[in-house]
Amino acid sequence: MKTYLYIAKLRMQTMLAYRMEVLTYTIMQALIMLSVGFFWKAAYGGTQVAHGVTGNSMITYTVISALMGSLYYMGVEDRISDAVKTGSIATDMIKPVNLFGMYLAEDMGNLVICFFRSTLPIFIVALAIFGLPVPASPQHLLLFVPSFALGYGINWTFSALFAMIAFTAIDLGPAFSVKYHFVNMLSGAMIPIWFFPAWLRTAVNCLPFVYMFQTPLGIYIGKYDISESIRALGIQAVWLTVLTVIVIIAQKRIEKRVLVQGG
Amino acid sequence: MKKLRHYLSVALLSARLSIQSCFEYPAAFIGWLISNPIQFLVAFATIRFVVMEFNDLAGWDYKQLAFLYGVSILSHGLSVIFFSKTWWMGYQIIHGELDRLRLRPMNTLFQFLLGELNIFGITDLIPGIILFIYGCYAVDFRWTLYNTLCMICTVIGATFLRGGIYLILGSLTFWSKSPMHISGFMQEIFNRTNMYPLTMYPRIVQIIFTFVLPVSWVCFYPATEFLGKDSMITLPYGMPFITLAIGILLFAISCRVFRAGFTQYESAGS
Repeated sequence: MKTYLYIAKLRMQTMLAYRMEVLTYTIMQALIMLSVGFFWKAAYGGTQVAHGVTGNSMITYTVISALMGSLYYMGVEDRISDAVKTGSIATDMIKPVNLFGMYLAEDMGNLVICFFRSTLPIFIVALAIFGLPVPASPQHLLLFVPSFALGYGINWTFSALFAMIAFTAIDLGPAFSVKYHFVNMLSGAMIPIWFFPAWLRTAVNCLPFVYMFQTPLGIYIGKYDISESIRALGIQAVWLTVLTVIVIIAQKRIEKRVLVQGG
Repeated sequence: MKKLRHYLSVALLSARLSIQSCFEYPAAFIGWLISNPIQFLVAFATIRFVVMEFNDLAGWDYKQLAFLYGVSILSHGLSVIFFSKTWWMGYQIIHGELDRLRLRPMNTLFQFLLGELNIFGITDLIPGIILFIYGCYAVDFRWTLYNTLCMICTVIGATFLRGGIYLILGSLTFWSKSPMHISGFMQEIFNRTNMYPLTMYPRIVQIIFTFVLPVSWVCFYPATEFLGKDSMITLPYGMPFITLAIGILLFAISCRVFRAGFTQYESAGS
């Protein structure tokens, strides 16, 4: 455990080096949040309630989504694909720690830095423009926390799995961009999927993406009542277990057939 | 005249080279050909689903928004082809890669912009053209002589407007000596001010993006005229010509900034 804490600390120090990049990224995320917030204001216009959700709840949804997004920094993706491309995967693998344990520890370090670097500033901007994003009830807030943690886990394991394609393809190129846009749309991060046409909604519900963003967000704004929320937490836990098992199996297979390019 | 012909032939030759070098790695090109349109499709689907629910967005229906988005993405695609190298020029400056521009007996900015076109921009342009045709069809755009002229002015003006701002931002590295990551940021601003009607934002935001940083002229204002929509400024006609004027003016300013910056260029080793 101490080893992993040390890795997390190292990672935080590295992250602090990229000051300018983080700053512009944060400002960009804050602007997108504001834009989407005003988009909902204009869309609702005179309408009070759509799909059981008020315009104000939708703005809360947008703000919390931006805050979650700023914490969902999946460093594991770049980490694996870079390590495979440059061949440094070899040195990562001879370290006396679990490969994915190390990457997870690094992302925990990222999480702490992201909280201070991105989440807090975005929260302050949201507070100034849209006011405090209030949860539906204290119980909902209480359920939101584990749901967010499970959402992080699902997102992380999925990203790790996706990045593992690099072991066979070496250079993923635009694949990450495709994945980003798909996840953005199908997870409900931009618009909740209850606005989608019925056929698409049914399909999306069978995929893990909604459990990254929409489930915690829906709980926060009270779209789901308490019993529905607890059931949703259960589904999240199932998805996380399934994805974790796949990651472990994939890791075992990859360690046997890794190809070090070193170019 | 002879000089102009020389420049033209060099531009054509380097365009051919750019195309050839782009297709050297067809897999990468196909990858972007799939990934870039998806980005616009997702953004567009988002608008469509929400607007179908609420009927309109700040008084714009779904078809009008499709038209607005189509014009915007068309000029985006063109600006990617001609100006996207300014997004990475910060790195070129600090790595001293602009040295060779100085060695050739030609205008440096000409060499910089047209010496190597970003043919990968076609993957942005194709969805742009498709959305543009669809948008024009959806709002039943009338291709009269005057309207066609206005549309050409809008698209050319918008491309120069985007390019001018990218070039100014890129040139700042000549002074700052460290690359700044603001191109993605600027693209997002262009997108957000031209994908949705500007009138949905608070008045102060509208004023900023109309007069201070005139990015909503890219296509929001011309579109208001084409579709007869109200905005903060309502003119009976002439919006597309203002877009063209702002585009050319910003591009002229950016040329000056680039030239002034280039005198500060001190090659690698910083």
